[in-house]
Amino acid sequence: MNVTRSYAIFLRQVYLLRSNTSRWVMIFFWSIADLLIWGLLTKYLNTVGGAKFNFITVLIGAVIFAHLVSRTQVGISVAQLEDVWARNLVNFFAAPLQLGEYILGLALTSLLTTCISLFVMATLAWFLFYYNIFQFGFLLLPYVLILVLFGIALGLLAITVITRFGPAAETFAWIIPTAISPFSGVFYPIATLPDSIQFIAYAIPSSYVFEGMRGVVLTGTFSMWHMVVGLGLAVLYGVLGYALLRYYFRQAVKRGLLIRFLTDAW
Amino acid sequence: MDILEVKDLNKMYGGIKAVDDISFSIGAGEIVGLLGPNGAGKTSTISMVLGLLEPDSGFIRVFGKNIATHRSEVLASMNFAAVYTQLPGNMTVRQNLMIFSLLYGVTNPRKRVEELIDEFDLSGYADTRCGFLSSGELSRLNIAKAFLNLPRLLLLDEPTASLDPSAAGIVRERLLEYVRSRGAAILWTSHDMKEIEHVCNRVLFISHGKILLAGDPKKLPAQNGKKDLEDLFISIAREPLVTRP
Repeated sequence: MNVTRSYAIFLRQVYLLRSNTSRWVMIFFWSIADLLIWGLLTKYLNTVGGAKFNFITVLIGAVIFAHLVSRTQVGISVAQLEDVWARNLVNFFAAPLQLGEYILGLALTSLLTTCISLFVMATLAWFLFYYNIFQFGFLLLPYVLILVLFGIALGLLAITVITRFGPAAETFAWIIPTAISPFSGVFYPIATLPDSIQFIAYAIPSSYVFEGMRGVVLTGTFSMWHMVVGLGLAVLYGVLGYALLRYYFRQAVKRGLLIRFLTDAW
Repeated sequence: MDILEVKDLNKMYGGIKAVDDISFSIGAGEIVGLLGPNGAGKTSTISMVLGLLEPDSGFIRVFGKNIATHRSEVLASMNFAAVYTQLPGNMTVRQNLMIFSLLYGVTNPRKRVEELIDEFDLSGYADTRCGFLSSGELSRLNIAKAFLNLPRLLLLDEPTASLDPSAAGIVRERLLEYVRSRGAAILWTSHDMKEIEHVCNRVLFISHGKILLAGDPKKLPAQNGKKDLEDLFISIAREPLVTRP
C-alpha cells in the first residue's frame, strides 16, 4: 500500500472540487434542504396537540446522522463516477496504482466532503433549532465511526455494481440511501416495522446507531450491545464489499471491460 | 536481459481470438513497431503488457519480472501514451501532470512537471483545462505524461496521430534521443509507415491476432518483393481477409 498514490487520487478530487462550484451544491444542498424540512416539521410537531415531548432531540439528530451514511456512500460513488465519466480509469490503472490505494483515495475524498457537510449541518442545527450534536459527548465518536464505515461499505457496493454492469448502473449509486432508509429505523424504532421485515433492520448497522441514540436521548441509557453489533456489522460489510469489488474488478480486467472504459456490460 | 518478453500470449473475446499465440521480445535501446490493420490485436497486446487486460494464457515479463505478480513494481518503470486515451478534461495540464507524477512515484514532482511543461511547449496553457486543448496539444500532453517517470519501457499507441508534421517530427526526434541516451525501449504502433521506417529497429506485422512477419523495416519490403513498407503492410493486411471464409 503506497499512501502517496492514494493521496494522488484524493488530490484529483480536491482539484475537481476547487474548479467547479456546482460540485459544492451536491455536498450542501441535500443536507441543508433535509435539515430545514425536518427541522421545521419538528417545530410544528412540537406545537401540535400540546405535545409534551420535544421531537427536536430525536428527529434533528436522526436527520444529521442519517446524512453521514448517505453522504459517505454518495461521496465515494461520485468520486469513482468522475473517473468513469472522464474515461480516466485506463490512465490510472496503467500506472502502478493498486485497487486498494484507489479505494483509500476515494474514501479520503468522501471523508473530507462528509466532514464539511456534517460541520455545516451541525452548525445550522445549533443556530436554527438549538440542537446540540455534542449532547452525546464521547459517544458521538463511535456512532460517527459506525455510520461512516457503513457508508464506505455501501459506497464499495455501488462501485462494484458500476464495475460489473457499467456506467448505466450509476442510478444504483443514487438510490442506495433511500432504499435502505425505511429499514434503518432513522425516525422510528425498529419495533414500528412489521414483525416480518424487522430482520432486515437488524442486518443494517445504522439501525443499531439510531436505536442506541434514541435510548440515550429518551431514557438516558447507553446500550453497549447496540454499539458493538453495529460496529461489527459495519466492519463485516466493509470487508465483504471490498472482497466483492476485488472479484468484479478482476473480472473487468479479464473480460476487457476496463480498457473499454467500463462500458455498459449488461 | 530483454526489457520486455512476451511469450505464447493468447486472448479471446467471446468466440473471437483477439491475440493468437504471440511471442516477441524487446531489448534495451530498441524501438519495435507493432503494425497491423484495425482490429488486428495491437491494442489488446499493449493492454496486456500494461496489465489492463488479463491474458487467457502465456506470460509477460518486464525487466525479467512477471507483470501478473509484480504489477506495481514493473509499471513504475513503464509508461504509455495512446491516441484513444485522454487525460481528464476537467483538470488543467499542470494538475494532470502533478497527479500522474504522484502516481508514478516521481521524486520532486513539481520540478519534473515544470520541466516537462517547458520541454513539450505546454507553458502557454499549463493552467488551461485539458478539455479546452486541441487534439495536437492533448497528444503532446499525453507524451509529456509518458515521460514523467523517465520510463525504461514506453508503450506508444499511435503517439503522433493527431500531431502536425512539424510537431510529429520533433516528438519522433525526442523519442529517438531518449532511447539512445537512456537505453530505454519502445513498443510503437502507427499507421504511418514512413514514421515506422524512420524510428523502428524492427517491426512485427500482426493480423487476426497472429504475428505474420518480423524484421528490419528497411529490408523487409525488398525481402518480400514489395516496393516499400506501406505496400507490404497493405498486402499483409488484405491477404488474410481475402482468404477468410
